[in-house]
Amino acid sequence: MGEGGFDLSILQDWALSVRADTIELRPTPGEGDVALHPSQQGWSPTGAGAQMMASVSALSVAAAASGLSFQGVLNRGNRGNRGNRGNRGNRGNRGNRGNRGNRGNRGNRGNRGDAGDGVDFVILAPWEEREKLHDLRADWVNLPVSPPPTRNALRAEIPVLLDLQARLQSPAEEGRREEILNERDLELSGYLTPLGINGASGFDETMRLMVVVAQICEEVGMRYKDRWRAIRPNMLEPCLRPFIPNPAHYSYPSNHAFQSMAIAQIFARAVPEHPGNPELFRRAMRIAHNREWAGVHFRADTQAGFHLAQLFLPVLERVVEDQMIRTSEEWRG
Amino acid sequence: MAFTIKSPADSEPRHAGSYPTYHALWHLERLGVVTDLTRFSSPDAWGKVASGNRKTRVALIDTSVDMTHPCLAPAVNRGLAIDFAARDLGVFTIPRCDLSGAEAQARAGVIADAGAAAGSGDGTRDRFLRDLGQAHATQEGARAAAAGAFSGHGTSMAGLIGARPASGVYLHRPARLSPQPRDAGESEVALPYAGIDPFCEIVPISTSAMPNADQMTAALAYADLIAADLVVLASALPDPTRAGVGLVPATPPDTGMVPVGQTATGAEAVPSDAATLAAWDALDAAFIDLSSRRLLLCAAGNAGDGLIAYPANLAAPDNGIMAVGACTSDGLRASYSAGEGEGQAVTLFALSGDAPAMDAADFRLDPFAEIDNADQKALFDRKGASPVAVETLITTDVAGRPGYSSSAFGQVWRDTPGPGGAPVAFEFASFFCEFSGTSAATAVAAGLISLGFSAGRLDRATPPSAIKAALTGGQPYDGARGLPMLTWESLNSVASA
Repeated sequence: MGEGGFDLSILQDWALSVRADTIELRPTPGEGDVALHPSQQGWSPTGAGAQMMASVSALSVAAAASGLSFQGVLNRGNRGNRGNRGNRGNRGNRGNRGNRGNRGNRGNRGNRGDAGDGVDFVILAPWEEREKLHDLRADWVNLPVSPPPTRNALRAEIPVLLDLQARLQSPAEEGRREEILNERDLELSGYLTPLGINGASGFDETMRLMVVVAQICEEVGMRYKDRWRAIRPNMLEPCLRPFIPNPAHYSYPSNHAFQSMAIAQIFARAVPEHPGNPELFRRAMRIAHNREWAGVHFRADTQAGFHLAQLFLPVLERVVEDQMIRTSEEWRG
Repeated sequence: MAFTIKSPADSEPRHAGSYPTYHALWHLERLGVVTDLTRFSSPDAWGKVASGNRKTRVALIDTSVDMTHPCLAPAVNRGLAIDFAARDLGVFTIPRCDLSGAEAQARAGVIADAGAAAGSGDGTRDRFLRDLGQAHATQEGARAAAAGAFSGHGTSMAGLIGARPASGVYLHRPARLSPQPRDAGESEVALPYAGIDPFCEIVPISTSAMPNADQMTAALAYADLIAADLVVLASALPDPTRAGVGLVPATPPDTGMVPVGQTATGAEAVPSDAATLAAWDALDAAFIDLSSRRLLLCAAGNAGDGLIAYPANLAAPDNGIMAVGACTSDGLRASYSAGEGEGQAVTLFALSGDAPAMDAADFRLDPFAEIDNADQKALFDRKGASPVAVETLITTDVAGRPGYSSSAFGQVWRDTPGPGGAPVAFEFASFFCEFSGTSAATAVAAGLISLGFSAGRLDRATPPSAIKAALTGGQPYDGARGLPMLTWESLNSVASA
């Protein structure tokens, strides 16, 4: 075949055959080597199906005559990797959570999957991912995030935030008030529910992926916050009363927006076939926008967080690649 | 009582995990592309492709594609591949500095074309084209989110459409298996896989699952800009009003059932504002507009109910959008495929794999699966039980542990190269995988239509709606059997029409 075509002889000389979850590669016999014609085996090739079986039979004959054949596990091979779960034994170290002494009141939430409560998933320090993150430092330390809006532009947004503040107290927003409290620290149920899992059903790799992404992004987001030193909404307009205390760091970009969008982006890259992905993105965005309702972020902070998640995605998918692969295996089983 | 299977597979033991063997490229014969699976002669299809012809250009809007796969590297246009996941207005997947020769020229050409085609308007298309026309400046510092590891779906789609057989591949021969223990080495093999049109070129356009209409609008504008002969989109987009989450009686009720949009249910986590809805409206118009010039193949959806995914549900006689459903090797609609019947029709069906189903309407079981539970075995004796089709489409997969097929090895290629510096793989099975669903059916249909252009059976100048009409015209619709089914014969009728 000419340029842009392909070499037909490869298909004639070699063949792949499939049986359940195995695939076999065999050289086919040369001209004249095919001793058995389908009809000689007592089959009459009446339809396409019969023809297909006949040619597979010829391959088997060929394989018997040839010493070279390679077999491999096809598609379901990832089952074997489940063995890796053995590593989980290390979880005994949950005592380490004590390090976060300032958040001590959350210690009660240790039971993941507690019905009615949120999903906290505790992991060991993700040192491998952090190491990769810093190996790739040059690729993320200077992402083209826009500078924050001017004070005048932010001032124009204050009436919107005051309106949200008033509406948050209405009976209709009771659910949102609960969400805001739940979402103060990383809590996974908002991300797991769109995927149809509840934190107690054996999706540990998925949950670890989400926690690792949140932790990696927390660190990166802090750098960008420190770069812009943007104030919180009620520092511009003190009559705004945030529903929750202002976090002790700068406002722009919103780390809740960055982290939640990054979780959605990364999960959707790892398991693009999941029908819950669009809803996962919507929940992630709601978690981010809830911070505007709570009065601790401007809309621009949220938008910058989303943008940062997108800019950081190419680096992040390299940083958490192994965990993404384990996650996709978990869903493909 | 129990069903019987009328095929040679009938001789396989039941419930024992013992499956019949089949050729990985069985679909090429079934589709009529090749006449037999030993000689692979293809006088009417592959044999009609002239080497000097312009390659058929397939725009694949999907996840990213693993361009390093030996069977895909010659099929993928690296210079034009673009990613919208990491940047709303797109970023070329391969950085400029990694291109040379013809690829660099193609890149420069498309940037110039974008600049020339850009209008001054405020719409997404114009903003995208203006941005792309200045790509060297606007994409500075941006990079694509297109890691090969997370390119499973796109890699499988691309393989069915246009993979080429690869030679000069070596497999590592472990010492422990050789007659002489120290004699580790490598064996030269080939990867004998071919897509349906191994002459086409594939342009991967990767998007993210983010519910962002502008991203897709820009992707469509790009497919148009590069003059794709056909555009392949095997995903369901979450348009808040057009992607239904259920069927309700229309108003007035006697006009039938209509899909309920996600907004209408009030279930949206972030309510759509006017700007968001306008963006989805613009995307909807972009689909219709593009399909007047480019054939657009969309997967009908795997929900197994009457709902056809968006944008496949836009398919209509007066546009070039095709909703592709899946049919199986045993001549039935696949259990998961949309397109069952009246009011839920797809444009046509194409070959794909099957899946077990157990509900009040469909009782389709896998008789070969290992089942040691008497309760489950008893299900096979129920009235109406029938077997799933065994053959599944095989396609290219991301090599190594990622992708649909995994690998037992921690790396794909051996550190020490083989003869002449050739790469040596530890195994080959993870280079391929089973692939099914209406996605796979869409890839099969795309491969056939691409081959139709490549072999001169379809004319690139024919309007897409006319090609679509010719492919299905006059053929009876049968949602149970998955008809009309697209084969190489269907394209015959176009040529004679």
